Amino acid sequence: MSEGGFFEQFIDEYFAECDEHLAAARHALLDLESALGRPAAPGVVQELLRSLHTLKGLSGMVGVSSAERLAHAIEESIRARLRPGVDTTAATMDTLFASVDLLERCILARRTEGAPPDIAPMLDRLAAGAPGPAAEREPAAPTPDAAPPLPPDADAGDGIVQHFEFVPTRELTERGVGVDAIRARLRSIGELLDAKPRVVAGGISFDFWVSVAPGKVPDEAWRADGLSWIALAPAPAGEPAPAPASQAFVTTGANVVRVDLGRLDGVMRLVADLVVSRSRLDDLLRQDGARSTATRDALEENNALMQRQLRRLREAVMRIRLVPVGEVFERLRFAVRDAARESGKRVNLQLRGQNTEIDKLLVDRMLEPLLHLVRNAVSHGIEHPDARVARGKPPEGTLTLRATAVGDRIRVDVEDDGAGIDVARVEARARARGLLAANESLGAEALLDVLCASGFSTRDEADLTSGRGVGMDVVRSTIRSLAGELSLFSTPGGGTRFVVELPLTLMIVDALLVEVGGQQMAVPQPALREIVKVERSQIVPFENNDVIPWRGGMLPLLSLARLFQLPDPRLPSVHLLVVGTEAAPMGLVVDRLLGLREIVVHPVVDPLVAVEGISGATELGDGRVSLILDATAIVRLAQEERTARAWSGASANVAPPPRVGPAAPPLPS
Amino acid sequence: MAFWTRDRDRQPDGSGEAGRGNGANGSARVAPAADAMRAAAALWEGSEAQRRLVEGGLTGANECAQSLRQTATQAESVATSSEELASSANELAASIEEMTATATGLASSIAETSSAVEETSRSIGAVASTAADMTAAAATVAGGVTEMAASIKSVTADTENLASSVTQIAAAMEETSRSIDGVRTNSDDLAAVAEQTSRSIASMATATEQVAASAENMSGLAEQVATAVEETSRSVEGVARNAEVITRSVESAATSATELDRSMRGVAALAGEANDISRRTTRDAEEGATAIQRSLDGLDRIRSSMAESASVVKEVGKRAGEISTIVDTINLIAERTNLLSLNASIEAARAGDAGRGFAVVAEEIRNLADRSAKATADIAAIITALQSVVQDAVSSTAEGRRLADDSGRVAAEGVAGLKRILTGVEQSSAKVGQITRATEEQLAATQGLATVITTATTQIRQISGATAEQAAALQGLVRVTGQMRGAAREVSEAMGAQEQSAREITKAAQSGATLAGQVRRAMAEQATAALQVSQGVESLRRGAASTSRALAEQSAAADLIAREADGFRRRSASVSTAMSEQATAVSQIARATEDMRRQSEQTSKGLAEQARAASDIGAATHNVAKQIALITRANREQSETAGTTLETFAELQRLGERAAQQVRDAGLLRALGDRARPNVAAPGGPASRG
Amino acid sequence: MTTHAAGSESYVLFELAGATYALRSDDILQLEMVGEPTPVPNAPSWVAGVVSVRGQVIPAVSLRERFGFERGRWDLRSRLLVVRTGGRTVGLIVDSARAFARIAAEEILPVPEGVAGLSGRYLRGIAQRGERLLLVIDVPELLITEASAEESAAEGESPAPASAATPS
Repeated sequence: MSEGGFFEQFIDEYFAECDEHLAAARHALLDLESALGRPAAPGVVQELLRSLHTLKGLSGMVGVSSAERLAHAIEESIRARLRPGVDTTAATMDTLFASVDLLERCILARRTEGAPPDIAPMLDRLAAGAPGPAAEREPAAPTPDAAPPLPPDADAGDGIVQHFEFVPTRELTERGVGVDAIRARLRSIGELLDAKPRVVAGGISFDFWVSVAPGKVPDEAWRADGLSWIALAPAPAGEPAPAPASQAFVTTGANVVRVDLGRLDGVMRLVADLVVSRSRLDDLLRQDGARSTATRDALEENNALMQRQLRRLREAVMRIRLVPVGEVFERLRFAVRDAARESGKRVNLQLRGQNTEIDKLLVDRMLEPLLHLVRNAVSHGIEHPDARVARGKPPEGTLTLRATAVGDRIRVDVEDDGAGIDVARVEARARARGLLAANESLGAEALLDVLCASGFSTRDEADLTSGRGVGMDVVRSTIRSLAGELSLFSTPGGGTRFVVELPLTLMIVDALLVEVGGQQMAVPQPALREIVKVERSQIVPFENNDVIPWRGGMLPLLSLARLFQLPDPRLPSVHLLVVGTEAAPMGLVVDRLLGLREIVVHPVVDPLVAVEGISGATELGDGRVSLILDATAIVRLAQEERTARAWSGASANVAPPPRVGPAAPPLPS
Repeated sequence: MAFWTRDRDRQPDGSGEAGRGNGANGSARVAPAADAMRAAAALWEGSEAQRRLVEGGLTGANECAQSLRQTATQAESVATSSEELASSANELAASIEEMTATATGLASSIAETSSAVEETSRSIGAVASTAADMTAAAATVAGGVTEMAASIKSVTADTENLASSVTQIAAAMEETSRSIDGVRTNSDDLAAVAEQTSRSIASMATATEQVAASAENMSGLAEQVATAVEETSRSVEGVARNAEVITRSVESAATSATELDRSMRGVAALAGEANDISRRTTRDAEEGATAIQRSLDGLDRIRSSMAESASVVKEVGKRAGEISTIVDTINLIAERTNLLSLNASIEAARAGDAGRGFAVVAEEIRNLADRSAKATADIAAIITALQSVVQDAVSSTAEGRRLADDSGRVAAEGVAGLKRILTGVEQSSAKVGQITRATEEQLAATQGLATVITTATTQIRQISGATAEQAAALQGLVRVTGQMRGAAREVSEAMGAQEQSAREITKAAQSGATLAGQVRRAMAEQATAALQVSQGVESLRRGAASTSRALAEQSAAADLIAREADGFRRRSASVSTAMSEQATAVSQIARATEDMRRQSEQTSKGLAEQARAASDIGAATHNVAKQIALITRANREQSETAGTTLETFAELQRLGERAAQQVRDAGLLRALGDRARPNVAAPGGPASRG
Repeated sequence: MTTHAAGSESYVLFELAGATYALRSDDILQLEMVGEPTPVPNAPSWVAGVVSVRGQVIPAVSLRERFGFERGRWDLRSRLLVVRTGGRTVGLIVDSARAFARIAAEEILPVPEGVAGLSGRYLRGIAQRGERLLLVIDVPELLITEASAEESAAEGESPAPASAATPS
C-alpha cells in the first residue's frame, strides 16, 4: 500500500511542475532581494510560500521526503522571517537562496536517482534563523516597524480577520478623524479584535485587527482618511451580498485573495459535475464499441488525459479549500485555558503540525469533537498539580495536539500525560449496566466502545469524574459522520491518547461501485482492504454467521442484502469486500462489482433518510442517486449486533441490540 | 355311221345273194356250196357283228382318245397349274419366309415396344397420379400386346387346325387315290374290255397285229399315264393338302395379320393416344408451369408491392413514432413550461409586489403551456390510433407477405414438381415416340405381311383353282375312264358276241370244214380266180374304199345299185364259171378266215399283252406323273396311236366291208349263178337258212 | 383571476388521489419533475428514496403513501414539490401540480371536528374554489410532526426502537 508508488506514475509531471515552481520561487526571491532592507512585499512572500507549499506537497506525493522536509522548513522559515513589516536582511536572503538551491538538488537527485543531499545542516540553519513560534515570541520587544501579531486570545469568531493601519496626521485630526473615529468606523464593519499603537519613523501609527462581519466591507473612502488595508476579495458594487459565508482564510499577503467558501464550494461543485460528466463519457466510451479504433483510441486517450487534468484540477481546487489545522488549534487554546482555569489545573498546551492542512469544511466540523476531547483531557485526564507532584510528575500537565498528514487522511492526536483511564472502573460500570460479562475484561477497542456507548457517560456523569466519556458518543458519531475514526490509547497513570483520523476532503472520493440486491451502491476505496471473489458453496454458516476460510483464519461475512433488507438474488458466486481493521476484518457480500469511479459525495442528513451504514449519496451522471456505504459503520453495526447477540445470550434483561435505522440526526449546523 | 348303217342295210342283200351264189356255185358241190353259203352267211353275220363290235370299240377308243386328249389337256392344265402352284408355293414359301422374317422383326420390334412400354411405364410411374392417363394408356398398350400374343397363339392354333384339316384332306385324297385306283381298275376293266375288244379284234385279220401293237404301245403309254396320273394325283393330293394347309394357314395368317394389323393399329392408336396424352400432359404441364410462373411473378409483384407497402406503412409508423416522439417532447416542454411558470409564480410571489407583473406573465405562460399540453394530448391520441392502425397494417402486411412467401414457396415447389413431371412426360413422350415408330414399323411390316399373305392367298386361290381344275379334270378323267370302262364293257360284250360269232364262225367253219375242203379245192381251183377275185376284191376294196366315201355320198345310189343288183344277179347267173372263182375266193376266204382265226388268237394274245400293258399303264402312269410333261407327249402320241388305231379300225372296217362285199359279191355271184340256174339261185336263200 | 387582496397568500395547488390540495408557495422552494428516487434501505416505507435536486441529495416522500394511499405510478405529470422548512429540504411527490392560486386567509375554513388523526395534524383548513374543495396543507406541520408521527406509529408496533432520533 504505497501511495508513493501510486504517484510514481506522475513523476514526470512532478518534475515539470517542480521546475516551474522552483523558477517561480527564485523569481520571488530575486524580487525580495531587490527590496532588501525594507519589509518584504506580502504578495511576493505569498507567491514564494505558494511555490514552496506546492513543491512540498508534490514532493510528499511522489515520496521525495528530503525535498518535502526542506520545502517545509523553508516555508516555516519564510513565515517566521518575512512577516509583514519586517525588513528583509541579506543573511535571510542568502539562507533562502541556498535553501532553494538545495531543494532543487534534492529534486534533481530523485530525478537522476542519485543519493539525496544532506539537508540537516540547512534545516538547522533555517530553524536557527527563524524566530520562535508566534505565541511564544509575542511579548518580545516590539520592533518599531513590525506589525504586531494577532493577540493570542483574539477570537475572530465567524468574521474575517482583517488588518488595518491608521496613520494620524494633523490634517486628519483637524477634520475630526482621530483614532476614536477610526475605531468607530471599523466597529461598523465588524468586531474590533485588537488595536495597538506603533512607533514608526517620524510618527506613530495604529494597527487594528478587525473581525469583519460577513457581508461587510470597508469603505474605500476611508483610504483618504489615512486608513490603509489590503483589499480582500474584490466585491464589485451592486452585486448582491454573498450567501452567509462561514470563514475565510486568514491571510495577510498582498497577493492573497480571500475567497468565500461558498464560492469555493461552487467551484468544487462544478469540478464535481465535471468529474461526473467525465465518468459519463467514460461509460459512453465503454458502451460504444462500434466506433473505429483510431477515433476511439484518440477519444480514450483524450479521456484519460482529461481524467488526469481533472484530478489535478480537483486537487488544485481541493488545495484551495485546504487550510492549516493550526487555526483550529488556536481556537482550542482558549478552551484549554478556560478549562484549566475552571479546574484549577496547570496545563501546558503543545501544538504540533499546525500547518498540516485540511479541508475547510472538515476543520469546521472537527472543532466540536476536538473541543470535547481537549476539555475532557483537561478536566478528567490531567491531574491536579499536587496529585501530579505526588505521582512524581511535574505539576504542570502537558496536553499535546499533533496534526499529521497520512496519505490522503489527516490524523490528529490529543494526548495528555494524565492519569489514564481507570479501566477497572469502566469495566465495573459496564458490568453494572450489563454491557460486559463478569469474567470479561475490556480491550482497548471494547473500552472505547463502552465509553462511547450511547448514554453511558451522560447518565452517570456524577460518578465519572475520574473516568472519561463526557459526550463521547457524540464525539465519535460526529467523527464517523465525517468518514473519520476515533481510537483510544490509554496507559493507566501514564496518560491517554485519542487519535482522530479524518479524510482530507469529503467532496470527491474514489469509490468502488457494487450491486446489491439490484441496487447500485458505492464503497469508498480507502475503506477497502481487499476484494475476494468466492463461490457461494465456499461460504460456511457458523453460529448464525456466515464465514469463509481466509488467510488461515475465518472471515466473518455480512450480507449487505440482508442488512438492507434487499432481495438476495443468491448468485452462485459473489464478491466479498474485505473491510474493517486488520485485527477484525469483515467480508461484505455484494452481488457484483461495477467498477471504480470517482464519485462526488453528497451528505445525506435528513432524518428521514439518514440510515446508519450509509454515509451519503452520489449522483453518477445519469440523474440517479446511488448510496455510499459507510464500511466502517457497517462493520461496527455488525459487531454491535454480534455483541448484542452475545449479551442477549448472557442476560435476558438487556436492551435489544441496536438495529439499523434512521441514525441520530446530525449536529445542528 | 350313216355309212356303216347304209352299208349294213345294204349288206344283207348282198351277202344273202353271195351266200346263195356261193351255195349255188357248187352244184357238185351244191351242198358244200350251200353249206359254204350258210357258213359264209354266218361268217358275214359274224363279220357284221364283229364290225359292229369294232364299231363300238372304235367309238369307245375314240371316246377314250378323246378322254385322253381331255386328260392330256387337263394334265397340261394341271401341269401348268402345278407349275404355277409350285412357283406360287415357292413364292408362298418366300412370302412365308418373309412373313416369318417380318414376324421375327415384328417380334423383336414388339419386344422393343414392350421394353419401351416398360420404360414408359416406369417413367410414367414416376409421374404418378398426374400421369395416370398415360399409365392407363400404357396398360392398354400392354393389353394390346397381350392380345397380339394371344392372336399369334391363335394363329398357331389355327395352324394346328389347318394341319388336322390337311389330314382330313389327305384322307380325302386317299379316297381320291382310291377312286383313281378305281379308275385304274376301270382301266384294267378297260384293259379287259380292250382284251375282249382285242380278242374280238383278234378275229380281225391283218390289222389286229397293228391294233395289238398299237394297243401295246398304248398300254405302255397308258401305264405311263396311269403312273403320271397317280403321281399327279398324289402330288395333287399333297398339293391339295398343302394348298389346304397353306390356304388355311395363309387364311389364318391373313386373319392373324389382319388381327395383328388391327392390334398394331390399336397399338398405334394407343401409342398415338399416349403420345397425345403425353403432349397434352406436356402442354398442360407447360401451361401449368406458365400459370404457376405467372402466379409466381404475380406473387413476386405482390410481395414486392407488399414489401413496398410494408415499408411505406413502416415509414408511416416511424413517422408516427417520430411525431409521437415530437409530441412527447412537446408534452414534456409543455410540462416543463408549466413547471417553470409555476416556479416563476412561486418566485414572483416571494418577490411580493415587484413580482406581480412577472406573475401575470407566468400565468399566461402557464395557460399557454396547458393549452399546448391539451393539444398535444389530442395529437397523442390521434397518433396512438394511427400507430395502432399502422401496427395492424404492419402485422397484416407481414401476414400477407408471409402468405405470399408461403405461396411462392409452394408455387416454386409446384414448378419444380411440374418440371419433374415435364421431364417424366418428355421421357414418356420419347418412349411413346419410340413405340409409335416401332408400331409404325410393325405396321409397315404387317402391311408387307398382309401384302405377302394376299399374294399367297391369291396364289393359294390359284392353286385351289388349279387343284379344283385338276380335280375336275380328274373327275373328267374318272368319267372318261368310266366311259372307257363302259366302252370296254361294250367291247367285252362285243367280244363276247364276237366269241359267240367266233364260235359260230368256228362252228360254221367246222361245219364248213368239209365244205371248206371242198371249197378249198374249189378255192384252189379258183385260186387264180380267187386271186383275181382277191385282186378284184382288192381292187374292189380299193374301189370300195375309194368309193366308200362315195358310197356314203352315193347311199341313195346304193339303192340303185341294189336294184340293179338284180340285173347283176341275172348277169351273175350267166357267169357260172365265175362261180368257181367264187369258190376259190371262198376258199381263200376260208383261208383268210383261218388266218383271221389265227390272227384272232394272236390278237387275243396281243390283247392279253395289251391287257398286261394296260395294267402296266397304271404303273406307267407313275412315271407319267413324274414326267408330267410326258403325259402330254404320250397323250399326243396316244392320240396319234388312237388315230392309227382308228385308222386300223377303219381299215378293219374296210376290210370287213370288203369281206362283206366279198360276201355280198359272193352272194351276188351266187345269185347270178342262181339266175343262171334258177335252182341254184333259188336255194340261195335256203343256203343261208341251211 | 388572482385577486391580490390583502391578507391573501399564494398557494400551489396539487392533485393527489383525486383531491386538490393547496400548499403555501412560500414553503415551496421549487417544483421538479419526478425522476427515479433511489430507495433507501430501512427508511420509512413512505419515503420513496433520495433524489438529487440541484446538487443536493434530499429525501423524496411519497405523499400518497404518507396519506395512506397506494403509491401509484409516476409520470410526466407527477411533480416533486421541494419544500424547505426548519432547515430541512424534503421533496413531496404528488400526482400533479399545475396551478397557482391566491387564497385569502378568511377563505380558509377550519377543519371540521370529524377530521382528526394523522391527517388532521397537517390539514390547516379547507377552502372552496367554485366546485372544488381545496385542502390546505401546513407543510411545517407536516414535516415537524414527522418524527412524532413516526414515533406514535412505531409505539404501537415496536416496544422500544433504539434509535435516538431526537435532535439534540
